[in-house]
Amino acid sequence: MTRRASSPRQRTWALRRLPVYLGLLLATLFSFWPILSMFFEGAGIDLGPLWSGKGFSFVSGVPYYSGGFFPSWANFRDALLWGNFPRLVLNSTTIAVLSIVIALAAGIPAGYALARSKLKGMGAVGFLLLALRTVSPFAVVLPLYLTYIRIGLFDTYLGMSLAYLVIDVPVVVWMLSGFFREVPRDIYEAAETSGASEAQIFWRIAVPSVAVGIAATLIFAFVLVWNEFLIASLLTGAATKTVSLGVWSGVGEAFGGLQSADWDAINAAGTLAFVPAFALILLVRQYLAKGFSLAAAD
Amino acid sequence: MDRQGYLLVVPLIAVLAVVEAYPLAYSVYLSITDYSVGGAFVGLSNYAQLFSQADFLAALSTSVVFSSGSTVLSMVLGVTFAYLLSLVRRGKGFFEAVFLMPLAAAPIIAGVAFAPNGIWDDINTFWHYVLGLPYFSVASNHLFLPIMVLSDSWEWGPMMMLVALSVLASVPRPVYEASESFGASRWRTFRSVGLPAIMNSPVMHFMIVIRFVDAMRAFEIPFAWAGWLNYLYPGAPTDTLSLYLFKLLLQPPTGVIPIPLISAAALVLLVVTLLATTLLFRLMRGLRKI
Repeated sequence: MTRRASSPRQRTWALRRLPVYLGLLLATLFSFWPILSMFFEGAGIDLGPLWSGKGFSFVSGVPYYSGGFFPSWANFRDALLWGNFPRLVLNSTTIAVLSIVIALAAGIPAGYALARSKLKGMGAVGFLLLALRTVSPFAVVLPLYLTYIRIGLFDTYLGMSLAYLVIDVPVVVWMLSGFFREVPRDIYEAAETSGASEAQIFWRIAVPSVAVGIAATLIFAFVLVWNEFLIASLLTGAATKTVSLGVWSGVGEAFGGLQSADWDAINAAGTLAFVPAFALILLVRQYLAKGFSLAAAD
Repeated sequence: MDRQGYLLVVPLIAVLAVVEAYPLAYSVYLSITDYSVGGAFVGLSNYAQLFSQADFLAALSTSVVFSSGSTVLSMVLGVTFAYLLSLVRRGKGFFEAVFLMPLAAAPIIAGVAFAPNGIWDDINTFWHYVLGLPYFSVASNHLFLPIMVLSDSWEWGPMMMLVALSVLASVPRPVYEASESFGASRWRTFRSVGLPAIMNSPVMHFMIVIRFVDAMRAFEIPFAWAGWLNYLYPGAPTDTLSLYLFKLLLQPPTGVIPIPLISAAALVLLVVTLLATTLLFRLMRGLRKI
């Protein structure tokens, strides 16, 4: 109350808000700077000399900046037009779509059953999914690799899609069971009393009412597969190399075999690969927490 | 909806049988046989060998430290960001989008961006020339592990933020209004209403478990750091279990890929994570009951 009466109200208010703005600024820098620095690297912009004040000088009275400030779209253009970037995008997309179609085919009915059925053992399925999340990729990928070599699935779209089910199936089932749980019980009951069969309730009522949830789940799973690195580095060869691996394999040049190209070009391609993933995350942000919240409610 | 419930789970079980049960069974088989001589049964000797290796135990403990650190820090970051957003009046959607950026980045980007010559280069220049403080080296032994934890938390903090925001949104408005009408500050209200709601929500507990489990498999960030610090041999200080196994696979010290050892180690990791998960779940369920 006293605050409201104080005369330089505006100023006190601004002062009180100062920590908030400072916090926002820090949080923004923390979240955004690493991404921005990747973009800068790709665009050939180096701000270091600017900070140090060393890159700036006067050459016979004319301001001259000797720092590495040479912004250029060349790396981005080259990645899109000349490199194997489009091929990597095609590989990742094909593998992700195939994998997610299989995951949805298994996950939609299972998520529905987990949400609606009171049968014995449904809780166990939920825990099983969490337990499977603890499986180290090496416990799965090494056997898959040995098997793939034998039956000719190594370095194929199908083989990679199957391997990625390890990642996307648990997420798909969790999120979908959450969305199915959100459908009001009355709707199911009304359908039952009006004589709809179980199959009809599933196809005509349950699935359409979580259509948005299915889309959100699909998109999130896509981003997970798009960004995956370890499984791709163990199970892909030249034919099915994915975006995340293809772009960043230069990081592993020290480990032999992975040859680094131009670091600026790598960062440009990394930025290009990040942009669609970010757009997709923005698209589904409000459904992400919701899917998990509803799935975790017990 | 009675017996059909089981039928609906059949596709899921079929998928899991192919991509989980089969490889796991195969891994168990690999871990108790000698791969190099065509699969002679050797019992638990591979496990015995594994546990006698200091490298393996070091990697396991690095993994546990990394995961615990990352779980706590990503939660702290997520809750802090959620609180900050609750204070914003205009442009909330914009800031939320900015804070979500790391979530869309591939984990390998977290390894690359936080590299010594990545953002630390900028920070160090700023630190030295603008603040006038002496240079520091992030490659030093005390710093790289915390930075690896920080990068992982950078990546997954936003997920925690989304969850915290969804919990905050579910607190009934009158509760906030009551608190504010008693003259409580925003911070006070958050501390006594929002924060307990977040920390006691089943979804936060679920996410904490998931975060820990995922971090136990962390690979990309340690992989990048092993590159920056030139730690190429298996058993280096950067090695989490996944990276240790990766190095064994790509650069086996003896020249022969120790497939049985890798399988055994992967299974040990599975058991350790599973035990920790069960423990965490018990603990948090117990906390909720109080």
